[in-house]
Amino acid sequence: MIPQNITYIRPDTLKEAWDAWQTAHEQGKEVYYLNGGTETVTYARQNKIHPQVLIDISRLPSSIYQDFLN
Amino acid sequence: MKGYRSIGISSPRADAQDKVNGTQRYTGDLRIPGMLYTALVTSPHAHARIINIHKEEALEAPGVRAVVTGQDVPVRLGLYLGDKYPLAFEVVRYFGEPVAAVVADREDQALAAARLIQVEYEALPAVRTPLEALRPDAPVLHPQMAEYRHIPAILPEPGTNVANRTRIRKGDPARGFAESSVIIEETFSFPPGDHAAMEVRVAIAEVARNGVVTIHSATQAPFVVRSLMSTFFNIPTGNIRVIALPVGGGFGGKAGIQLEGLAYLLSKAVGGRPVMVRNQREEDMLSSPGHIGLFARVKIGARSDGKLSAMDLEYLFDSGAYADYAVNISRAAAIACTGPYRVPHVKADSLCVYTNHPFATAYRGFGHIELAFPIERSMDLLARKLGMDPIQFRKLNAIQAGDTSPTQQVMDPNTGNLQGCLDRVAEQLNWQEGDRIVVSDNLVRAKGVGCLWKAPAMPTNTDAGAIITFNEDGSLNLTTGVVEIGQGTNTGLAQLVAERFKISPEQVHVLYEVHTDRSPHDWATAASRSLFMAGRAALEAADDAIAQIQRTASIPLACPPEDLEVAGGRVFLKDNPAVGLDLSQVVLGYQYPHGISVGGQVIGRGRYIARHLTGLDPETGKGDPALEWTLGAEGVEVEVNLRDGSYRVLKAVCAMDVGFVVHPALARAQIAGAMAMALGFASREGFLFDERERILNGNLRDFKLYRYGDEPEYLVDFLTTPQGDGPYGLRGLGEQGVIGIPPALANALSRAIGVELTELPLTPERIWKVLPSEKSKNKQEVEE
Repeated sequence: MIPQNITYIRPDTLKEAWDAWQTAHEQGKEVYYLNGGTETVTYARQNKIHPQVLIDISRLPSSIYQDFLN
Repeated sequence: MKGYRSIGISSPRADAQDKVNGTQRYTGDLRIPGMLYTALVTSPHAHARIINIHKEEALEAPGVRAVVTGQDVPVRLGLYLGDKYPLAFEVVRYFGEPVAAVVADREDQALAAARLIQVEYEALPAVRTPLEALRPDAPVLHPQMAEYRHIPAILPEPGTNVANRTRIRKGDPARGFAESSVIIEETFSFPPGDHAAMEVRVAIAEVARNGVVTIHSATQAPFVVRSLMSTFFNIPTGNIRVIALPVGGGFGGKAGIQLEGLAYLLSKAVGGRPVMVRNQREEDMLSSPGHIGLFARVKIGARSDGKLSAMDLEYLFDSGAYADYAVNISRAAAIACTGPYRVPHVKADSLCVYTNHPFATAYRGFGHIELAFPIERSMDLLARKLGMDPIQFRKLNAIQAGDTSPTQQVMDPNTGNLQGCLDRVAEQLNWQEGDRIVVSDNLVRAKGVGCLWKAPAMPTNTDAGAIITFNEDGSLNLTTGVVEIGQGTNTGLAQLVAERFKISPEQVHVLYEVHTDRSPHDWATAASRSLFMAGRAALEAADDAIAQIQRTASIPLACPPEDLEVAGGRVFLKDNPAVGLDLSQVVLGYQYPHGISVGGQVIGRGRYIARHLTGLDPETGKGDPALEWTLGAEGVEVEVNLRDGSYRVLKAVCAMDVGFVVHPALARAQIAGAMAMALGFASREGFLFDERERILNGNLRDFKLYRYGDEPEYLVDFLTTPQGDGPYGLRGLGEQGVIGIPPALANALSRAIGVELTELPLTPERIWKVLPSEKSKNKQEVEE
């Protein structure tokens, strides 16, 4: 268990994902992208990271690669 | 199989659906009304003095009910040697040792508050290896050892770091070596590690107003827990109830006393409310005990005809900071120290040595997987020196009925057929094509074998019991003290009882929970002895129930009880089966049509206690500690890249003489699973330490286990030399499949690269470092 409250964001587009990170970062929050969670859970449980915002990019539509190129 | 109806078949497991679908309820799933949660503060040092613990801030945190430190509860307890405080008192002796505990309304509150506790330490020099621990100038990690309570079977040496020393003295080793024409001397080692069971350890304790202590625990040994809680906390045994739900993997790691004592102390700190102590995964790996480490010195002599003549063995077990099961692991390794071979002259010293590593407990194979690595590697070294084939060399020396074990116990006529096992392994590995085959420039296939033997290491009065009751429909309920830990013994027990009743095993409902206040006494679900011992008890209970059924039925059927047979859910005249009754009419008493009833309900009782076992002579080890020996042979085939040391295991084979196979699918799965576990242990597991003995890979991200996709083809073969005193001739097979695999892998890899490998784990890096230089030109480039 990770003993703190975490804001979980699941963006629909690459731009939303980008903006969410910027916003959290500007607010001085510890923010990470989440794409599975093995590292996040392991390190948070070991008190090595303290995520306040997690942006879940694991379910972004497969078109994101195209978006990025454009 | 021959005329049997319910055994020798792969009957469905009653718990299969829940396990596969994730709906099995484990101890960690329990939510007892009013239950509080806990979090631990653990040591960042391998060895340090505790100067001060600041708990004020944590006590103010939301939801916190109590913060407890070692100073609040300075009680020492232990399994065989009472050497450990549930929370460190004054000194921490390993990285990850619990120092303080927080009790709170919710788990997240407890974890958050635990982070607010500041502990001041004064770091002390760490003892890094058993060899270091034995030096005269080494720090003595347990200066109060002389005061520790311990069982008589272990022999601690106060003033040193030796928690147990078991001596084996058989024959005249000096003469044996003088008669040897070939002698090898070598050292072998591997580091401590973890079981990595899927379920983390958890215990829930509560203390009722009347003093009754109830403990739910993920334990293989509820009766051991009850007994030790009574001993160390002065609670009458009858006032302790330990409840064991099915366990999500034990592997020995849950066979002793674990978190129960701490849960009890924390419950007392909050007025007896139920308190759950549940490990986080990292705590389960570091704070709770794991797999033992070993440093072994081996000297073995053989005569020119290839017969083993003498062994001089020193096993230094790395027990870590506390003794737990490790003292008995070192003893078990002494009892079986030579491996399954005929050795006339033996000297062995097997020591359990304290270091500043995480402490060790039982691990599948219990001393035997450990000793097999030095012994079976040495057998290959000897065979090479003698110019003999490694399998022929083993067959020549295989132990047989009439030979004596290292403790001078005569191997009885039940002794399994090791030579036959070796033949089957040779066949499965296609040994005759050769044990090293060049595939291409840098690729070779190589094969290696390792033999195994194992007897249960258990108290001489180890017992089991069984109770059979009946339902209105004539079906049976079987209660034993065996814990379901994934092994499936309950299915096997149902089959044994069903065989006696000549019914389908599904008609025998086995209770999948053990309650120490109502289940019959059973030592522990450990040592691969449950189907043997609880099986004997269950058969006696079945026969007892059948006799009662015959007696009751003989009244309305107006015949002598011995004229009746019980089969297929009926009791009937042997010579005229048409005359009889359904069991449903008899098992709760027979009621005549006019209402008058006779007989009462049938309650079958059965028990079994190990026979003929003795302790060991402290000077020579002489004694009869083994209930039965399971023998077998294993082998692997690997494909090795000679440039970079990477390899794949293509095939893992096992032929084991199990006496009788009750459930072929489960028996095969048990052995294939054991081989997978052993391949993980041998190829990649083990803790990595920094220069101050802090662990670098204490999580499942960095501690690599065997994974799906790594698996080779598994070939499992059974031999069936009957065990005369085992149910239908069976003997234990639960742990044994791990034992021969690590040396078999090391033998195959050594054969492949032409360098003798003596350490585990066998990572590609370790192999690459010792590759002969002409084969690995790029190594020098990299090193430069």
